[in-house]
Amino acid sequence: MVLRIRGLRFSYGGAFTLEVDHLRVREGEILVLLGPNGSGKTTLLKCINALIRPESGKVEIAGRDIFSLRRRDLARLVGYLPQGHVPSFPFRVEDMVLLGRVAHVDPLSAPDRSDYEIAWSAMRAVGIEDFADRPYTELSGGERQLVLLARALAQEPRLLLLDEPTNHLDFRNQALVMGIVRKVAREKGIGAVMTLHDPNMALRVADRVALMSRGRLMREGRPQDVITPQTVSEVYGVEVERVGDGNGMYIFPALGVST
Amino acid sequence: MRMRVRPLSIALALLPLPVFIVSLCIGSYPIPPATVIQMLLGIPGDWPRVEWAIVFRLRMPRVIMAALGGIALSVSGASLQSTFRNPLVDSYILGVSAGAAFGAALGLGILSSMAAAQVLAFCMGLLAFTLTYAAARTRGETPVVSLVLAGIIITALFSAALSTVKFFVDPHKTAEIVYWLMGSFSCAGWDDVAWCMLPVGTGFVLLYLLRWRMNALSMGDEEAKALGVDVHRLRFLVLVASTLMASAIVSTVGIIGWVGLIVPHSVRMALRTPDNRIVIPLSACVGAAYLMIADDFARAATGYELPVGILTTLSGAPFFLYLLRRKGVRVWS
Repeated sequence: MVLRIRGLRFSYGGAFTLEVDHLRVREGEILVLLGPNGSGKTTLLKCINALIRPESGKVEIAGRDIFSLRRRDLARLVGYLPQGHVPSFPFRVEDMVLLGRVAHVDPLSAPDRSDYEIAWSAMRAVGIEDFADRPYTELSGGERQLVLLARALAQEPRLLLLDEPTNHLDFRNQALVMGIVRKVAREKGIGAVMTLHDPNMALRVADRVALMSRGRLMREGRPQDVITPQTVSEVYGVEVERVGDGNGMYIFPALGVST
Repeated sequence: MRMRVRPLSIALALLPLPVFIVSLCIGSYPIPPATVIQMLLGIPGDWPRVEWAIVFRLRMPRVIMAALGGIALSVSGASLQSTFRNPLVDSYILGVSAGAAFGAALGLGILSSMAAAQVLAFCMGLLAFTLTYAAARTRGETPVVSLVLAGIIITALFSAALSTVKFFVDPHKTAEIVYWLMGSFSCAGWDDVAWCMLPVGTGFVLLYLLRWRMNALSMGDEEAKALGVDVHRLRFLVLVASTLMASAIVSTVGIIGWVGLIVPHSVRMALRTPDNRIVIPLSACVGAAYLMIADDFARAATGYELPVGILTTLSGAPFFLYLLRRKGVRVWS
Protein backbone atom coordinates (compact mmCIF):
# COMPACT_ATOMS: atom_id res chain seq x y z
CA MET A 1 0.00 0.00 0.00
CA VAL A 2 1.54 3.32 -1.08
CA LEU A 3 -0.92 5.61 0.64
CA ARG A 4 -3.07 4.99 3.68
CA ILE A 5 -5.21 7.70 5.26
CA ARG A 6 -7.15 7.22 8.48
CA GLY A 7 -9.41 9.60 10.37
CA LEU A 8 -8.13 12.72 8.62
CA ARG A 9 -9.69 15.99 9.73
CA PHE A 10 -8.75 19.50 8.65
CA SER A 11 -10.65 22.75 8.96
CA TYR A 12 -10.15 26.29 7.72
CA GLY A 13 -11.24 28.23 10.79
CA GLY A 14 -14.57 26.44 11.11
CA ALA A 15 -15.91 27.61 7.74
CA PHE A 16 -14.88 24.46 5.94
CA THR A 17 -14.03 21.03 7.28
CA LEU A 18 -12.39 18.19 5.41
CA GLU A 19 -13.07 14.75 6.83
CA VAL A 20 -11.70 11.60 5.26
CA ASP A 21 -12.12 8.48 7.40
CA HIS A 22 -10.41 6.03 5.18
CA LEU A 23 -8.57 6.13 1.86
CA ARG A 24 -5.94 3.89 0.31
CA VAL A 25 -3.89 3.78 -2.87
CA ARG A 26 -1.95 0.74 -4.03
CA GLU A 27 1.27 0.56 -6.05
CA GLY A 28 0.62 1.49 -9.68
CA GLU A 29 -2.93 2.53 -8.97
CA ILE A 30 -4.51 5.81 -10.10
CA LEU A 31 -7.04 7.35 -7.77
CA VAL A 32 -9.02 10.28 -9.15
CA LEU A 33 -10.61 12.83 -6.83
CA LEU A 34 -13.73 14.19 -8.42
CA GLY A 35 -16.02 16.88 -7.10
CA PRO A 36 -17.19 20.44 -7.54
CA ASN A 37 -15.06 23.51 -6.79
CA GLY A 38 -14.58 23.90 -3.05
CA SER A 39 -15.29 20.25 -2.26
CA GLY A 40 -11.86 19.81 -0.66
CA LYS A 41 -9.87 18.03 -3.40
CA THR A 42 -6.86 20.35 -3.31
CA THR A 43 -6.98 20.55 0.49
CA LEU A 44 -6.79 16.77 0.64
CA LEU A 45 -3.80 16.72 -1.74
CA LYS A 46 -2.03 19.31 0.41
CA CYS A 47 -2.64 17.24 3.53
CA ILE A 48 -1.13 14.20 1.79
CA ASN A 49 1.99 16.26 1.04
CA ALA A 50 2.13 17.82 4.54
CA LEU A 51 1.87 21.28 2.98
CA ILE A 52 -0.89 21.85 5.51
CA ARG A 53 -1.20 20.04 8.80
CA PRO A 54 -4.50 18.39 9.72
CA GLU A 55 -5.90 18.63 13.25
CA SER A 56 -6.10 14.89 13.56
CA GLY A 57 -5.67 11.72 11.60
CA LYS A 58 -2.90 9.71 10.08
CA VAL A 59 -1.35 9.80 6.63
CA GLU A 60 1.13 7.06 5.80
CA ILE A 61 3.12 6.86 2.60
CA ALA A 62 4.98 3.62 1.96
CA GLY A 63 4.28 2.80 5.59
CA ARG A 64 5.77 5.97 7.05
CA ASP A 65 3.89 8.65 8.97
CA ILE A 66 4.41 11.75 6.83
CA PHE A 67 4.04 14.29 9.63
CA SER A 68 7.08 12.91 11.43
CA LEU A 69 9.24 13.00 8.30
CA ARG A 70 11.61 15.82 7.35
CA ARG A 71 10.67 17.66 4.14
CA ARG A 72 13.66 16.15 2.44
CA ASP A 73 12.64 12.58 3.26
CA LEU A 74 9.02 13.23 2.33
CA ALA A 75 10.05 14.65 -1.06
CA ARG A 76 11.77 11.35 -1.83
CA LEU A 77 8.41 9.62 -1.44
CA VAL A 78 6.01 12.13 -2.99
CA GLY A 79 6.18 14.06 -6.26
CA TYR A 80 3.80 16.99 -6.56
CA LEU A 81 2.39 18.69 -9.64
CA PRO A 82 1.00 21.99 -8.36
CA GLN A 83 -2.00 23.78 -9.72
CA GLY A 84 -1.22 27.23 -11.10
CA HIS A 85 2.57 27.26 -11.10
CA VAL A 86 3.76 30.87 -11.25
CA PRO A 87 6.98 31.19 -13.28
CA SER A 88 9.66 33.54 -12.02
CA PHE A 89 13.07 33.33 -13.65
CA PRO A 90 13.40 31.78 -17.13
CA PHE A 91 15.21 28.59 -16.11
CA ARG A 92 16.15 26.21 -18.90
CA VAL A 93 13.98 23.08 -19.07
CA GLU A 94 16.89 20.88 -18.02
CA ASP A 95 17.57 23.05 -14.95
CA MET A 96 13.89 22.94 -14.00
CA VAL A 97 13.72 19.15 -14.17
CA LEU A 98 17.01 18.91 -12.29
CA LEU A 99 15.32 20.63 -9.33
CA GLY A 100 13.46 17.36 -8.81
CA ARG A 101 16.77 16.10 -7.40
CA VAL A 102 16.87 18.61 -4.51
CA ALA A 103 15.77 16.02 -1.98
CA HIS A 104 18.44 13.58 -3.16
CA VAL A 105 21.42 15.94 -3.35
CA ASP A 106 23.46 16.75 -0.25
CA PRO A 107 22.21 20.09 1.20
CA LEU A 108 25.48 21.97 0.64
CA SER A 109 26.22 20.47 -2.71
CA ALA A 110 25.15 20.57 -6.37
CA PRO A 111 23.76 17.81 -8.61
CA ASP A 112 26.30 15.40 -10.11
CA ARG A 113 26.34 13.20 -13.20
CA SER A 114 23.91 10.62 -11.82
CA ASP A 115 21.38 13.38 -11.03
CA TYR A 116 21.66 14.62 -14.62
CA GLU A 117 21.06 11.08 -15.87
CA ILE A 118 17.93 10.70 -13.76
CA ALA A 119 16.66 14.12 -14.88
CA TRP A 120 17.24 13.13 -18.50
CA SER A 121 15.41 9.83 -18.16
CA ALA A 122 12.49 11.77 -16.61
CA MET A 123 12.57 14.15 -19.59
CA ARG A 124 12.60 11.21 -21.98
CA ALA A 125 9.69 9.57 -20.13
CA VAL A 126 7.50 12.60 -20.86
CA GLY A 127 9.08 13.33 -24.25
CA ILE A 128 10.57 16.78 -23.66
CA GLU A 129 14.26 16.02 -24.19
CA ASP A 130 14.19 18.01 -27.46
CA PHE A 131 13.69 21.29 -25.68
CA ALA A 132 16.05 20.74 -22.77
CA ASP A 133 17.88 23.96 -23.62
CA ARG A 134 14.89 26.24 -23.98
CA PRO A 135 13.71 28.61 -21.24
CA TYR A 136 10.63 26.91 -19.81
CA THR A 137 8.89 30.28 -19.54
CA GLU A 138 8.71 30.39 -23.34
CA LEU A 139 6.90 27.06 -23.62
CA SER A 140 3.17 26.59 -24.13
CA GLY A 141 0.94 25.68 -21.20
CA GLY A 142 0.90 22.02 -22.21
CA GLU A 143 4.67 21.77 -22.59
CA ARG A 144 5.18 23.54 -19.29
CA GLN A 145 2.92 21.02 -17.58
CA LEU A 146 5.11 18.25 -19.02
CA VAL A 147 8.20 19.96 -17.59
CA LEU A 148 6.63 20.04 -14.13
CA LEU A 149 5.61 16.41 -14.51
CA ALA A 150 9.16 15.46 -15.46
CA ARG A 151 10.43 17.37 -12.43
CA ALA A 152 8.07 15.39 -10.18
CA LEU A 153 9.27 12.13 -11.78
CA ALA A 154 12.91 13.12 -11.23
CA GLN A 155 12.11 13.00 -7.51
CA GLU A 156 11.80 9.22 -8.01
CA PRO A 157 8.64 9.19 -5.90
CA ARG A 158 6.49 6.28 -4.73
CA LEU A 159 3.41 8.46 -5.00
CA LEU A 160 2.48 11.23 -7.44
CA LEU A 161 0.06 13.98 -6.46
CA LEU A 162 -1.40 15.87 -9.42
CA ASP A 163 -3.60 18.89 -8.85
CA GLU A 164 -5.80 19.38 -11.91
CA PRO A 165 -3.08 18.29 -14.33
CA THR A 166 -5.33 18.78 -17.36
CA ASN A 167 -6.36 22.34 -16.54
CA HIS A 168 -5.86 24.81 -19.40
CA LEU A 169 -4.61 22.04 -21.68
CA ASP A 170 -6.02 21.43 -25.13
CA PHE A 171 -7.63 18.18 -26.25
CA ARG A 172 -4.37 16.56 -27.36
CA ASN A 173 -2.26 17.68 -24.41
CA GLN A 174 -4.86 16.39 -21.95
CA ALA A 175 -4.60 12.96 -23.52
CA LEU A 176 -0.80 13.22 -23.59
CA VAL A 177 -0.46 14.06 -19.89
CA MET A 178 -2.97 11.40 -18.85
CA GLY A 179 -1.24 8.82 -21.02
CA ILE A 180 2.12 9.55 -19.42
CA VAL A 181 0.71 9.35 -15.91
CA ARG A 182 -0.88 6.00 -16.67
CA LYS A 183 2.31 4.70 -18.25
CA VAL A 184 4.60 5.62 -15.34
CA ALA A 185 2.05 4.29 -12.87
CA ARG A 186 1.94 0.93 -14.65
CA GLU A 187 5.62 0.63 -15.48
CA LYS A 188 7.18 1.95 -12.30
CA GLY A 189 4.47 0.99 -9.85
CA ILE A 190 4.03 4.58 -8.75
CA GLY A 191 0.72 5.33 -7.08
CA ALA A 192 -1.08 8.47 -8.24
CA VAL A 193 -3.73 10.70 -6.71
CA MET A 194 -5.09 13.37 -9.02
CA THR A 195 -7.90 15.83 -9.06
CA LEU A 196 -9.92 16.20 -12.24
CA HIS A 197 -12.92 18.21 -13.37
CA ASP A 198 -14.14 15.96 -16.14
CA PRO A 199 -16.01 12.78 -15.07
CA ASN A 200 -15.40 11.28 -18.51
CA MET A 201 -11.65 11.69 -18.21
CA ALA A 202 -11.93 10.03 -14.80
CA LEU A 203 -13.79 7.12 -16.44
CA ARG A 204 -10.94 6.81 -18.93
CA VAL A 205 -7.89 6.93 -16.65
CA ALA A 206 -8.91 6.09 -13.09
CA ASP A 207 -8.50 2.73 -11.42
CA ARG A 208 -10.60 4.08 -8.61
CA VAL A 209 -12.56 7.27 -8.12
CA ALA A 210 -13.43 9.17 -4.95
CA LEU A 211 -16.36 11.49 -5.34
CA MET A 212 -16.12 14.46 -2.97
CA SER A 213 -18.63 17.00 -1.81
CA ARG A 214 -18.37 19.61 0.95
CA GLY A 215 -15.20 18.14 2.42
CA ARG A 216 -16.43 14.54 2.52
CA LEU A 217 -15.99 11.41 0.46
CA MET A 218 -19.47 10.65 -0.88
CA ARG A 219 -18.54 7.49 -2.72
CA GLU A 220 -15.38 5.64 -3.51
CA GLY A 221 -14.71 2.67 -5.72
CA ARG A 222 -14.45 1.54 -9.34
CA PRO A 223 -15.08 4.37 -11.82
CA GLN A 224 -18.16 2.85 -13.45
CA ASP A 225 -19.73 2.24 -10.02
CA VAL A 226 -18.99 5.68 -8.65
CA ILE A 227 -19.64 7.81 -11.71
CA THR A 228 -23.29 7.40 -12.57
CA PRO A 229 -25.79 9.97 -13.80
CA GLN A 230 -27.38 9.92 -10.33
CA THR A 231 -24.20 10.51 -8.30
CA VAL A 232 -22.78 13.12 -10.66
CA SER A 233 -26.09 14.95 -10.82
CA GLU A 234 -26.38 14.89 -7.03
CA VAL A 235 -22.83 16.07 -6.27
CA TYR A 236 -22.55 18.73 -8.97
CA GLY A 237 -26.16 19.86 -8.76
CA VAL A 238 -26.70 19.66 -12.49
CA GLU A 239 -28.93 17.54 -14.71
CA VAL A 240 -26.93 15.05 -16.75
CA GLU A 241 -27.52 12.85 -19.74
CA ARG A 242 -25.82 9.54 -20.33
CA VAL A 243 -24.64 8.61 -23.78
CA GLY A 244 -23.89 4.94 -24.38
CA ASP A 245 -23.46 2.38 -21.60
CA GLY A 246 -20.88 0.18 -19.88
CA ASN A 247 -17.31 1.09 -20.78
CA GLY A 248 -18.53 3.29 -23.59
CA MET A 249 -20.44 5.51 -21.24
CA TYR A 250 -20.17 9.30 -21.33
CA ILE A 251 -21.85 11.84 -19.17
CA PHE A 252 -22.74 15.30 -20.36
CA PRO A 253 -24.38 18.09 -18.46
CA ALA A 254 -27.73 19.16 -19.78
CA LEU A 255 -27.20 22.74 -20.86
CA GLY A 256 -28.99 25.50 -19.02
CA VAL A 257 -29.32 26.49 -15.41
CA SER A 258 -30.58 24.00 -12.90
CA THR A 259 -30.44 23.58 -9.17
CA MET B 1 24.11 16.99 -20.73
CA ARG B 2 26.40 18.41 -18.05
CA MET B 3 26.96 22.02 -17.15
CA ARG B 4 28.91 23.55 -19.99
CA VAL B 5 31.61 26.08 -19.29
CA ARG B 6 31.44 28.82 -21.88
CA PRO B 7 34.32 31.06 -22.97
CA LEU B 8 32.37 34.11 -21.79
CA SER B 9 32.12 32.62 -18.30
CA ILE B 10 35.86 32.06 -18.19
CA ALA B 11 36.52 35.60 -19.39
CA LEU B 12 34.22 37.06 -16.73
CA ALA B 13 35.74 34.86 -14.04
CA LEU B 14 39.25 36.09 -14.87
CA LEU B 15 38.22 39.74 -15.24
CA PRO B 16 39.08 40.85 -11.66
CA LEU B 17 42.78 39.98 -12.08
CA PRO B 18 43.75 42.52 -14.78
CA VAL B 19 41.42 45.09 -13.22
CA PHE B 20 43.18 44.58 -9.88
CA ILE B 21 46.60 45.18 -11.43
CA VAL B 22 45.51 48.23 -13.43
CA SER B 23 43.77 49.66 -10.34
CA LEU B 24 47.04 49.51 -8.43
CA CYS B 25 48.64 51.66 -11.16
CA ILE B 26 45.97 54.35 -11.26
CA GLY B 27 45.93 57.40 -9.01
CA SER B 28 47.38 60.88 -8.53
CA TYR B 29 50.82 59.23 -8.54
CA PRO B 30 50.68 56.84 -11.54
CA ILE B 31 52.91 53.77 -11.37
CA PRO B 32 53.75 51.75 -14.51
CA PRO B 33 52.06 48.32 -14.73
CA ALA B 34 55.42 46.58 -15.23
CA THR B 35 56.60 47.91 -11.88
CA VAL B 36 53.39 46.86 -10.14
CA ILE B 37 53.59 43.34 -11.57
CA GLN B 38 57.22 43.09 -10.53
CA MET B 39 56.31 44.18 -7.01
CA LEU B 40 53.41 41.71 -6.82
CA LEU B 41 55.59 38.83 -7.97
CA GLY B 42 58.32 39.80 -5.51
CA ILE B 43 60.93 40.32 -8.21
CA PRO B 44 63.62 42.74 -6.95
CA GLY B 45 63.75 46.07 -8.80
CA ASP B 46 65.06 49.59 -8.38
CA TRP B 47 61.81 51.51 -7.83
CA PRO B 48 61.69 54.33 -5.24
CA ARG B 49 60.58 53.25 -1.75
CA VAL B 50 57.66 55.65 -1.98
CA GLU B 51 56.17 53.69 -4.89
CA TRP B 52 56.29 50.49 -2.87
CA ALA B 53 54.53 52.27 -0.01
CA ILE B 54 51.87 53.69 -2.32
CA VAL B 55 51.10 50.29 -3.82
CA PHE B 56 51.13 48.20 -0.65
CA ARG B 57 50.15 50.68 2.09
CA LEU B 58 47.66 52.92 0.31
CA ARG B 59 46.32 51.49 -2.89
CA MET B 60 46.18 47.77 -2.28
CA PRO B 61 43.93 47.84 0.82
CA ARG B 62 41.68 50.31 -0.97
CA VAL B 63 41.45 48.21 -4.14
CA ILE B 64 40.88 45.01 -2.13
CA MET B 65 38.20 46.80 -0.15
CA ALA B 66 36.48 47.80 -3.40
CA ALA B 67 36.67 44.19 -4.61
CA LEU B 68 35.24 42.90 -1.32
CA GLY B 69 32.47 45.48 -1.55
CA GLY B 70 31.62 44.40 -5.08
CA ILE B 71 31.56 40.74 -4.09
CA ALA B 72 29.42 41.36 -1.00
CA LEU B 73 26.84 43.62 -2.63
CA SER B 74 26.53 41.60 -5.86
CA VAL B 75 26.32 38.17 -4.28
CA SER B 76 23.86 39.26 -1.60
CA GLY B 77 21.78 41.05 -4.26
CA ALA B 78 21.71 37.96 -6.50
CA SER B 79 20.74 35.72 -3.58
CA LEU B 80 17.97 37.97 -2.34
CA GLN B 81 16.50 38.44 -5.83
CA SER B 82 16.25 34.69 -6.16
CA THR B 83 14.86 34.24 -2.66
CA PHE B 84 12.27 36.98 -3.02
CA ARG B 85 11.37 36.04 -6.62
CA ASN B 86 11.77 39.74 -7.32
CA PRO B 87 14.23 41.44 -9.69
CA LEU B 88 14.15 44.80 -7.91
CA VAL B 89 15.45 43.64 -4.57
CA ASP B 90 18.95 44.14 -3.18
CA SER B 91 20.66 43.82 0.17
CA TYR B 92 19.09 47.08 1.38
CA ILE B 93 15.52 45.74 1.22
CA LEU B 94 15.61 44.41 4.79
CA GLY B 95 16.53 47.73 6.40
CA VAL B 96 20.27 47.04 6.58
CA SER B 97 21.36 50.32 4.98
CA ALA B 98 19.01 52.48 7.05
CA GLY B 99 20.11 50.73 10.24
CA ALA B 100 23.78 51.09 9.35
CA ALA B 101 23.32 54.76 8.42
CA PHE B 102 21.73 55.45 11.79
CA GLY B 103 24.54 53.60 13.59
CA ALA B 104 27.18 55.56 11.70
CA ALA B 105 25.41 58.84 12.46
CA LEU B 106 25.40 57.98 16.17
CA GLY B 107 29.10 57.18 16.05
CA LEU B 108 30.14 60.23 14.03
CA GLY B 109 27.67 62.73 15.41
CA ILE B 110 27.54 61.90 19.10
CA LEU B 111 30.66 59.85 19.90
CA SER B 112 32.77 61.67 17.26
CA SER B 113 34.68 58.52 16.48
CA MET B 114 35.23 56.77 13.15
CA ALA B 115 35.85 53.44 14.86
CA ALA B 116 32.68 53.73 16.92
CA ALA B 117 30.77 54.64 13.77
CA GLN B 118 31.99 51.45 12.08
CA VAL B 119 31.07 49.16 14.96
CA LEU B 120 27.72 50.86 15.57
CA ALA B 121 26.86 50.82 11.85
CA PHE B 122 27.57 47.09 11.65
CA CYS B 123 25.54 46.33 14.78
CA MET B 124 22.63 48.56 13.74
CA GLY B 125 22.57 46.95 10.30
CA LEU B 126 22.21 43.54 11.95
CA LEU B 127 19.67 44.93 14.43
CA ALA B 128 17.55 46.38 11.61
CA PHE B 129 17.53 42.98 9.89
CA THR B 130 16.62 41.22 13.16
CA LEU B 131 13.71 43.59 13.71
CA THR B 132 12.50 43.14 10.12
CA TYR B 133 12.69 39.37 10.43
CA ALA B 134 10.94 39.32 13.82
CA ALA B 135 8.20 41.63 12.56
CA ALA B 136 7.59 39.46 9.50
CA ARG B 137 7.42 36.20 11.39
CA THR B 138 3.96 34.79 11.96
CA ARG B 139 3.16 31.28 13.15
CA GLY B 140 6.65 30.01 12.45
CA GLU B 141 6.62 31.22 8.84
CA THR B 142 8.17 34.28 7.22
CA PRO B 143 6.25 34.97 4.01
CA VAL B 144 8.07 37.03 1.38
CA VAL B 145 5.39 39.73 1.30
CA SER B 146 5.60 40.21 5.08
CA LEU B 147 9.39 40.48 4.85
CA VAL B 148 9.19 43.19 2.19
CA LEU B 149 6.57 45.17 4.13
CA ALA B 150 8.44 44.81 7.42
CA GLY B 151 11.63 45.92 5.64
CA ILE B 152 9.95 49.09 4.42
CA ILE B 153 8.62 49.87 7.91
CA ILE B 154 11.96 49.27 9.66
CA THR B 155 13.76 51.33 6.99
CA ALA B 156 11.34 54.21 7.62
CA LEU B 157 11.89 54.01 11.38
CA PHE B 158 15.67 54.05 11.11
CA SER B 159 15.57 56.86 8.52
CA ALA B 160 13.54 58.98 10.93
CA ALA B 161 16.03 58.17 13.70
CA LEU B 162 18.86 59.20 11.37
CA SER B 163 17.13 62.51 10.59
CA THR B 164 16.74 63.12 14.32
CA VAL B 165 20.49 62.70 14.87
CA LYS B 166 21.28 64.96 11.89
CA PHE B 167 18.87 67.58 13.23
CA PHE B 168 20.40 67.74 16.71
CA VAL B 169 24.15 67.57 16.03
CA ASP B 170 26.08 70.62 14.85
CA PRO B 171 26.23 71.32 11.07
CA HIS B 172 29.87 70.25 10.66
CA LYS B 173 29.02 66.82 11.97
CA THR B 174 25.91 66.70 9.81
CA ALA B 175 28.16 67.34 6.81
CA GLU B 176 30.44 64.51 7.92
CA ILE B 177 27.47 62.15 8.22
CA VAL B 178 26.14 63.15 4.81
CA TYR B 179 29.55 62.56 3.22
CA TRP B 180 29.75 59.15 4.89
CA LEU B 181 26.33 58.24 3.52
CA MET B 182 27.52 58.83 -0.04
CA GLY B 183 29.99 55.97 0.24
CA SER B 184 33.71 56.10 -0.44
CA PHE B 185 36.77 53.86 -0.36
CA SER B 186 39.18 56.76 0.16
CA CYS B 187 39.89 55.99 3.82
CA ALA B 188 40.03 52.21 3.49
CA GLY B 189 43.12 50.63 5.05
CA TRP B 190 44.35 47.17 5.92
CA ASP B 191 42.46 47.25 9.23
CA ASP B 192 39.22 47.76 7.28
CA VAL B 193 40.02 44.82 5.03
CA ALA B 194 40.61 42.73 8.14
CA TRP B 195 37.32 43.91 9.65
CA CYS B 196 35.34 42.90 6.55
CA MET B 197 37.15 39.69 5.71
CA LEU B 198 35.39 37.44 8.23
CA PRO B 199 31.74 38.49 7.68
CA VAL B 200 32.12 38.80 3.90
CA GLY B 201 34.06 35.55 3.67
CA THR B 202 31.58 33.65 5.83
CA GLY B 203 28.60 35.02 3.95
CA PHE B 204 30.13 34.26 0.58
CA VAL B 205 31.08 30.68 1.42
CA LEU B 206 27.60 30.00 2.77
CA LEU B 207 25.80 31.49 -0.24
CA TYR B 208 28.18 29.73 -2.62
CA LEU B 209 27.40 26.38 -0.99
CA LEU B 210 23.65 27.06 -1.13
CA ARG B 211 23.75 28.35 -4.71
CA TRP B 212 21.88 25.46 -6.32
CA ARG B 213 19.22 25.15 -3.60
CA MET B 214 18.41 28.83 -4.07
CA ASN B 215 17.04 27.90 -7.49
CA ALA B 216 14.37 25.87 -5.71
CA LEU B 217 13.47 28.86 -3.52
CA SER B 218 12.65 30.90 -6.60
CA MET B 219 9.89 28.38 -7.42
CA GLY B 220 7.86 29.80 -4.52
CA ASP B 221 7.46 28.43 -1.00
CA GLU B 222 4.96 25.68 -1.64
CA GLU B 223 6.77 24.16 -4.59
CA ALA B 224 10.12 24.45 -2.85
CA LYS B 225 8.68 22.52 0.09
CA ALA B 226 7.25 19.87 -2.21
CA LEU B 227 10.71 19.51 -3.78
CA GLY B 228 12.15 18.77 -0.34
CA VAL B 229 13.50 22.15 0.80
CA ASP B 230 13.19 23.28 4.41
CA VAL B 231 12.07 26.70 3.14
CA HIS B 232 12.03 28.46 6.47
CA ARG B 233 15.59 27.47 7.37
CA LEU B 234 17.08 27.96 3.91
CA ARG B 235 15.62 31.44 3.59
CA PHE B 236 16.89 32.33 7.06
CA LEU B 237 20.41 31.23 6.14
CA VAL B 238 20.34 33.24 2.90
CA LEU B 239 19.07 36.35 4.68
CA VAL B 240 21.63 36.10 7.48
CA ALA B 241 24.52 35.54 5.07
CA SER B 242 23.42 38.46 2.87
CA THR B 243 22.95 40.75 5.85
CA LEU B 244 26.37 39.89 7.31
CA MET B 245 28.08 40.75 4.04
CA ALA B 246 26.16 43.94 3.38
CA SER B 247 26.43 45.24 6.96
CA ALA B 248 30.19 44.75 7.04
CA ILE B 249 30.65 46.66 3.79
CA VAL B 250 28.19 49.45 4.56
CA SER B 251 29.71 49.96 8.01
CA THR B 252 33.15 50.40 6.44
CA VAL B 253 32.60 52.38 3.25
CA GLY B 254 29.11 53.81 3.55
CA ILE B 255 26.15 53.23 1.26
CA ILE B 256 26.99 52.21 -2.27
CA GLY B 257 23.84 51.75 -4.30
CA TRP B 258 22.80 49.83 -7.42
CA VAL B 259 25.69 47.35 -7.44
CA GLY B 260 23.48 44.58 -6.07
CA LEU B 261 20.94 45.23 -8.80
CA ILE B 262 22.90 45.72 -11.98
CA VAL B 263 25.67 43.17 -11.50
CA PRO B 264 23.46 40.07 -11.04
CA HIS B 265 21.15 41.22 -13.84
CA SER B 266 24.04 41.81 -16.23
CA VAL B 267 25.37 38.33 -15.46
CA ARG B 268 21.95 36.73 -16.03
CA MET B 269 21.54 38.58 -19.32
CA ALA B 270 25.05 38.02 -20.62
CA LEU B 271 24.96 34.29 -19.92
CA ARG B 272 21.23 33.93 -20.54
CA THR B 273 20.56 31.90 -17.45
CA PRO B 274 19.10 32.54 -14.00
CA ASP B 275 20.86 29.41 -12.64
CA ASN B 276 22.50 30.47 -9.37
CA ARG B 277 25.25 27.91 -9.84
CA ILE B 278 26.50 30.34 -12.49
CA VAL B 279 25.02 33.63 -11.29
CA ILE B 280 26.48 33.53 -7.74
CA PRO B 281 30.16 32.93 -8.56
CA LEU B 282 30.18 35.17 -11.63
CA SER B 283 28.36 37.98 -9.81
CA ALA B 284 31.22 37.89 -7.31
CA CYS B 285 33.81 38.27 -10.11
CA VAL B 286 31.93 40.92 -12.11
CA GLY B 287 30.96 42.81 -8.93
CA ALA B 288 34.57 42.90 -7.74
CA ALA B 289 35.76 44.19 -11.13
CA TYR B 290 32.92 46.72 -11.37
CA LEU B 291 33.57 48.38 -8.01
CA MET B 292 37.34 48.40 -8.54
CA ILE B 293 36.79 50.24 -11.83
CA ALA B 294 34.21 52.60 -10.26
CA ASP B 295 36.71 53.42 -7.53
CA ASP B 296 39.43 54.06 -10.12
CA PHE B 297 37.17 56.73 -11.59
CA ALA B 298 36.36 58.06 -8.14
CA ARG B 299 40.00 58.80 -7.35
CA ALA B 300 41.45 59.56 -10.78
CA ALA B 301 38.74 61.04 -13.00
CA THR B 302 38.92 64.50 -11.44
CA GLY B 303 41.43 66.36 -9.29
CA TYR B 304 39.65 65.36 -6.11
CA GLU B 305 37.94 62.33 -4.57
CA LEU B 306 34.39 61.68 -5.76
CA PRO B 307 32.11 59.58 -3.53
CA VAL B 308 31.95 56.21 -5.31
CA GLY B 309 28.30 55.78 -4.27
CA ILE B 310 27.37 58.67 -6.53
CA LEU B 311 29.25 57.11 -9.46
CA THR B 312 27.61 53.71 -9.07
CA THR B 313 24.18 55.30 -8.98
CA LEU B 314 24.91 57.63 -11.90
CA SER B 315 26.14 54.73 -14.02
CA GLY B 316 23.88 52.05 -12.55
CA ALA B 317 20.47 53.62 -12.86
CA PRO B 318 20.62 54.40 -16.63
CA PHE B 319 22.30 51.05 -17.33
CA PHE B 320 19.51 49.28 -15.48
CA LEU B 321 16.96 51.18 -17.52
CA TYR B 322 18.75 50.08 -20.69
CA LEU B 323 18.76 46.45 -19.52
CA LEU B 324 15.05 46.51 -18.79
CA ARG B 325 14.14 48.05 -22.12
CA ARG B 326 16.40 45.97 -24.30
CA LYS B 327 14.29 43.96 -26.69
CA GLY B 328 14.35 40.21 -27.03
CA VAL B 329 16.14 39.50 -23.78
CA ARG B 330 14.13 38.59 -20.74
CA VAL B 331 15.48 37.68 -17.36
CA TRP B 332 12.08 37.98 -15.83
CA SER B 333 8.65 36.88 -16.90
